[in-house]
Amino acid sequence: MAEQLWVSAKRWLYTTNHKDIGILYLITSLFLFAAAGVLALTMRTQLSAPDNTLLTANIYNQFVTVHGLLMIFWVLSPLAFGFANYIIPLEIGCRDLAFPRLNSMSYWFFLFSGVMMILSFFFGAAPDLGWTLYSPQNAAQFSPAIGFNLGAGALILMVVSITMSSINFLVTMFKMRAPGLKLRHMSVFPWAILVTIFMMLYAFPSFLAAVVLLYVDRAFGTVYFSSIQGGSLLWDNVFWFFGHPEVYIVLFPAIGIIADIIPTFARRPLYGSKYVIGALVAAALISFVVWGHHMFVTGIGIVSTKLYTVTTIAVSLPFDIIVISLIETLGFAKLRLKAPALFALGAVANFIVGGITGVFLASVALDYALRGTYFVVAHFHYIMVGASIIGLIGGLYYWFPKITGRMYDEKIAKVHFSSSAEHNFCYFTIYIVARG
Amino acid sequence: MAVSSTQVQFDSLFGLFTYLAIAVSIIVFSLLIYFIVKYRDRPSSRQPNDTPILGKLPRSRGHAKSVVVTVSLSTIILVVLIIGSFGAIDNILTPPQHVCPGCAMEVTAHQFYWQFTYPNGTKPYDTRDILRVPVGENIRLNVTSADVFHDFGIIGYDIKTDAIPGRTNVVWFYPHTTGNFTIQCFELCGVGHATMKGTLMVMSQAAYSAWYDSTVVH
Repeated sequence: MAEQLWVSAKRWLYTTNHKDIGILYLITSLFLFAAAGVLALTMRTQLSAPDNTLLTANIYNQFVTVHGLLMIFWVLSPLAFGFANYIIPLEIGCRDLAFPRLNSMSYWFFLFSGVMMILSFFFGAAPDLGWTLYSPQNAAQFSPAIGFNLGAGALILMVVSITMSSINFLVTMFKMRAPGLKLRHMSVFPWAILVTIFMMLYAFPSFLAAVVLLYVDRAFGTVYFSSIQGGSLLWDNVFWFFGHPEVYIVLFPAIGIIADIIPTFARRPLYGSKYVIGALVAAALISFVVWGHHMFVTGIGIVSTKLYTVTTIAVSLPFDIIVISLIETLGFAKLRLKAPALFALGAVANFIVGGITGVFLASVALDYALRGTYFVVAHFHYIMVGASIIGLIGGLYYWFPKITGRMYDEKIAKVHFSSSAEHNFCYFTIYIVARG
Repeated sequence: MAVSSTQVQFDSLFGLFTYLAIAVSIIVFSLLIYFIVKYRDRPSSRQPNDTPILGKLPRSRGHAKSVVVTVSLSTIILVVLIIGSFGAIDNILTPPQHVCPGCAMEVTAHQFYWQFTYPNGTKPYDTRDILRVPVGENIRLNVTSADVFHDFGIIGYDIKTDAIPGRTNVVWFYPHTTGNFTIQCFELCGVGHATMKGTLMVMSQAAYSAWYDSTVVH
């Protein structure tokens, strides 16, 4: 018995197999999803009654921050890359990723960085100023807890893991496709991952620079971001240059999964798949010139605000093409409404709501009223949970039989779907609260 | 009745966005639901003739026409929205050059209170979270911060600007009615963020000048 356990443990600890690592990514990110969910539920409980004393202001702020950071860095992306690890080599016909050991190393970096992030709670205080970590409040003077340094370290480790894994996928997808498989023959999921990797490659260096300088500020007393001469806006620019592509980095894999699921269950090929792929590339390119819309009320000037209003509104065009193509796929189909299809269609519906309200926030004039309100919270939860998480859960059901060799229970899956639809009550009411 | 000029502007623009959003949602959702209901798998439904076959690349389909129609229709809507926004941007981001004496205040955000300084140098400390302004005048505020990143917003006025250390942002408005409004911080700034509130007290012009003239210069 003990020997069997050791054999099993050794397999998972030493593995460099892309399928094993994919499963490790999936399971770890689901655990962290549960952790972030507990934080969210505790916050909602605190907010359920006026003057509630469940959480102190200090703890509440830590929960808000770690919930956001965990969901964005340690749940959405790793869940998507768990699928990528498992599925991409199968879909492009290679035996494993180009650098299996590097792949294993990125997983362990990811795991330990996630653990570090959670441990930060136990070293004074976790980061407590929102996932955007605005300067100068991120300086040691305002947030002295050592837990914050640990959190910043966790972020650095996370970016290292992401960089290793993007290089790995890049080499695999360009160099190791089965002979005769042209890039244009790949389905939308591998394409979405490819576009995501390029965005990661260009967006994360900016974030890494920001976090390393922040760490140096905090640990060695430099003044890159704590300086009163523009430190705040420097952080804003460097952070949001990464921050907006990051939204698409966590969204695109889900779109890829949805665009694989819907044709399967509609029993027809994706409508206009080359236009969908073109739209993904276009959205990825535009995503690098829209970061100013996060800074509309920082006083960046009338010309910049107009420019960012136009680019941000324009970025909705590629998404229109994607949504319309997904809907047109259903035309003259024989659509079987099994669990993965339900989740995929639900994600599309949520994406429409989240996308349309995103256009509101693109207009600087409306942003003057909506910035910092629940309207923004509702909008990005529609995109990140409604579209990304629901789409990824669709992927879990879609590939569950492939990964485990067993079939899930369709009834339980449908109950799961109906209970997920309940989030609409939570988030849509938030829009109403925002304008109430 | 609208309480300020900025609220009028916001309401009309928000209305335009909301009507178009509702129209677009109705079209897209009807299409989605119609397709799901009509083409769901039933014993009577026809097997599509291009169902992908294992081991073969699926047949490519889709017309450029669909993309062109989608993009052009969306572009028309988006251009309307951009034009609408630009008008409001010009108005909101162009503060009046001249305001009445006593109508240009300095706002300094602190952890966790608002300090207002009036043009004559008055800096009330005991009533520091209260901003008094006269009704029916353009009011200009120079907003900055003494410590961390805050965001100055007036609820009901639909106006906001970041309070950033080392930087002054200008915000302006024209109150239509007297009354009290809530000033709030809209950027998570620390443990006291939730209680970082102030009051905008819009007074009649006579009452304001009586109060303003009575203030002692420190």
